Amino acid sequence: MAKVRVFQIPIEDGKKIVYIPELLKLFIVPKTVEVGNYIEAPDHSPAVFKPPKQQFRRCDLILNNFCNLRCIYCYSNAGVPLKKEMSFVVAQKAIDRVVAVCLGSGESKFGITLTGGGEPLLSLKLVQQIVRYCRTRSKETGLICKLAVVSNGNFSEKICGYLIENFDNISISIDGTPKVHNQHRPTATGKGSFTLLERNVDRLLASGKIGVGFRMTISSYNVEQLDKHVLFLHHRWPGVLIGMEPLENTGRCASIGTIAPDPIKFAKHFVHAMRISKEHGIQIRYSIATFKAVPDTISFCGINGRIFGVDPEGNITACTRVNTKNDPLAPLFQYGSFDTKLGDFVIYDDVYARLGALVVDSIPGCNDCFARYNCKGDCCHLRANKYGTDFVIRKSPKCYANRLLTLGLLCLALGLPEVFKP
Amino acid sequence: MKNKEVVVVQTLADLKAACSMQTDLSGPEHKLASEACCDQCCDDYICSSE
Repeated sequence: MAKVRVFQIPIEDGKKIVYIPELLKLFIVPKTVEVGNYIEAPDHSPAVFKPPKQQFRRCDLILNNFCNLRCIYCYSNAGVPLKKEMSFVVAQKAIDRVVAVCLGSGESKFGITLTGGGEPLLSLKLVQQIVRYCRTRSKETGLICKLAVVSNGNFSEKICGYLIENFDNISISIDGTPKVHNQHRPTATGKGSFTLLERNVDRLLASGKIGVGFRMTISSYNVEQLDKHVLFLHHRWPGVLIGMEPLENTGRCASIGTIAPDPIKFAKHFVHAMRISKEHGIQIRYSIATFKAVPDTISFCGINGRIFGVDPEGNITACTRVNTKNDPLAPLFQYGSFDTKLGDFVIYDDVYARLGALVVDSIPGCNDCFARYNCKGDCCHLRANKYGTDFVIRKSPKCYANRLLTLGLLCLALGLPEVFKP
Repeated sequence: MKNKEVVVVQTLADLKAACSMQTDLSGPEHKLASEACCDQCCDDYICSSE
């Protein structure tokens, strides 16, 4: 007989929501129904959490730190620091590590994502070397190679054709209508970046050969019209998955002043956008707006030892936002580096072991929160920026907003009226 | 002494019997929210894990 955790949230009319995250079930019952903190679920077999143990089946290669755009909120401040690009040897060794894990664990495929502190496609020669190497390793091992790239969409027609022929997926950063996108994401020469992106997205989608997803960054400039921006993207490019994250006051954003959206305002507008999206069949995502059965959701992202990111300097990072050893948060999230004498990576086992604690269970204040499996403690980068080394046990500074957002999603799932209009 | 109207629920079956509304978040109508990718990162939503 399995017992599962129960959370209860009072709502209007003498009723309450009973939420059982482990079973992904929601109920509305009268307040007079007494439910304990646990309930018996006879047919349920609890899933067992398996620690990651460096079994990386995919890798994020952060190829460089330079960019052709000057996004006003760039967390990497790309374009400003000294230009750095990953060496091909580092990329090869990272791919070898992933391939070895996949072979050893009987996987059928391995995944390589090319991303950047900057724009990865500005390192085209390196990209081509990596693609060729992945194909070679794929042939040698029989493993299928899944290649993805994260891009700002400002690349030539020739590169667009190359991506169509060689990549499985592309995530394009786009922030809504042309006006707000150009405001957020000007080129290095101060021009708008939407027109070129638009041409490339059209071509990528028309090919039917590459998966395209959008990644929106939400600031105080586009938060209030979030539903309009989502509808614009959907009408312009129907069926494309739209992921979004509110921005943090870090990198260039920190130096130009506060344009991070108010967390409560974001929560309200996101829930509203979610409602509109459901009505129109639009796929939108936000890290906190996910419902997955525990224990897979105990950490906000793969920060707890599941992310194998390699930065341009050859450092291994659990957070792709921390992509240089000069980042003040590097000692917290970088757990290895490339040793040129050894010709291979060295893992800092003590740091890696500490990453295992970056789960919601480490935060005492989250123990009894109904949103703990949605929020999962929120982004560690955000918390570390705010609290320093104490972040491991500290609740998110956006705790209230995250609970509000989760409640809004629960109400939406139950078909209840919008509890808070934006 | 408990109020007569109070219903004590201990099992999932009891809860189902006592509720006025229920939904399953793993169902197809909630697919958009539940079918996020591997949740490994928040930057590359469509990535090499898919």
